[in-house]
Amino acid sequence: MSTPPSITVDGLRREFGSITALDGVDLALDGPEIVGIAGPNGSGKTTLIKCLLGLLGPTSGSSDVGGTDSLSLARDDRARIGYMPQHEAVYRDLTVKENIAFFASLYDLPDRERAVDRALSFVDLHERADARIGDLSGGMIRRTSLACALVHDPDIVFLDEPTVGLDPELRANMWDAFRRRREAGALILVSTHYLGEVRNCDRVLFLRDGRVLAFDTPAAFLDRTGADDMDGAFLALLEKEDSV
Amino acid sequence: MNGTIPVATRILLSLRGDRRTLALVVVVPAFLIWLLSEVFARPEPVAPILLGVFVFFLTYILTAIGFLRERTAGTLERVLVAPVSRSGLVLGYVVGFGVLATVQSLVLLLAAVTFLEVSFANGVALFVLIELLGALTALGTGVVLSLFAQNEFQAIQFIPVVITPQVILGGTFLPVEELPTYLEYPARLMPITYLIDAMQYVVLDDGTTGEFWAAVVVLVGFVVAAIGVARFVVGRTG
Repeated sequence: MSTPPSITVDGLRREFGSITALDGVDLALDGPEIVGIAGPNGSGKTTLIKCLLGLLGPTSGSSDVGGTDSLSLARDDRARIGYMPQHEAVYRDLTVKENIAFFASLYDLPDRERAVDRALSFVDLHERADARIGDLSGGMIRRTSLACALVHDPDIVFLDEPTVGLDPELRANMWDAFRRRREAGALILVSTHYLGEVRNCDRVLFLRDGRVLAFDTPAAFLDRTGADDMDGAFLALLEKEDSV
Repeated sequence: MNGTIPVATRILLSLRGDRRTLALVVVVPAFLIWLLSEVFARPEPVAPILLGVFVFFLTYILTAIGFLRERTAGTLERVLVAPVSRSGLVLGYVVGFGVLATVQSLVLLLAAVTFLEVSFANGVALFVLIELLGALTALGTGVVLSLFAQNEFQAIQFIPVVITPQVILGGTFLPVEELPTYLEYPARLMPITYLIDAMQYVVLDDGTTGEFWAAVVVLVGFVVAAIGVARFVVGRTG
């Protein structure tokens, strides 16, 4: 039995030359939850996710996923991680089903065919299973990418701007899908620069210039700032910080 | 090696709908060999050079572009997050593109026999071996150089810098021993030199058996080094 899904970030700092992308981020998550990572472009959302996944090494500080340091993730640790990158991140010359089957084949799944079938159902793409990615709309490609991230039934999921470029209905469907994963026991980190979307999260980490501006529930943010929506709450937090 | 078979299968599956790449592997080498057979009255002396250089050149293009796409599309990151070893990933590329290189070698073999009337003095088995060694060296080179390219145009820009000097110095126009000393030494550090050297033995029986196997050993060294460097740089934490 694996440990409950968890993520810990301790004083994480990452520099790219003279640019500081992350500047001392701290975070502790334990158990099923949807956590939004929000902030404007360049605030450090993608860098944080890549550091957590061990794709980027920190300049200082550390992070661990499922109790293992991000730079030392072993096979078992990786088997419980799902990742949907910001890019398209699927193979255009393969079909929807072939893409999902390829990523499924990278994991030791007892019944791979069933897992692929389940992932197709999850993103509602059964009817286009045999269509090549190059022939699909942007929304369908994002759904394929999501299915590739979830096919092995991970309980720690990183989704980097999963809803970018999608129409409102598809976005709503995706958030429904994320909630279903959380109900199944997953800890989900979702980055987005659509601040209105973060109301769908249980808690929200607001980043600004690589620093944690605030971390709380959407309701608490609205309550604290008196704003009507999360855009307003974020602006109020910025103003408050600038005035200090 | 975890991930090798899925990655190799994926590479070959991707080609199914990629007619241009298939044409690059199958049709283009045969066409170029035919074209050269029309130009040269006595094509056999140039055959070893053409056969050695083509496979290196085409495999470099295939792997450099293929791996660059993997990196820029975001699929490489996704594969690296999965429980796949770096060695498994690179080996998957070796197997996938190795299959393509084998197909290409057989196409070149048929084209050389048909259009250049080459007799392969030391047998076709050695020919396929040398073609594969050339292809695998090009594969490692392609993977490594693609990491320094941001787009496909930049990957192609490496050709005049990295490959063309090898073709010029490696024995295409002048035997390496006849080059000025300051060019002979760099030429002896380049894989195409040994590729052409070994191919001249296979096709024309030019040189001794000992020299041939020495060239094979050097080529194997280049393969191990190129794939080893590729294994080291792929997925290194940034």
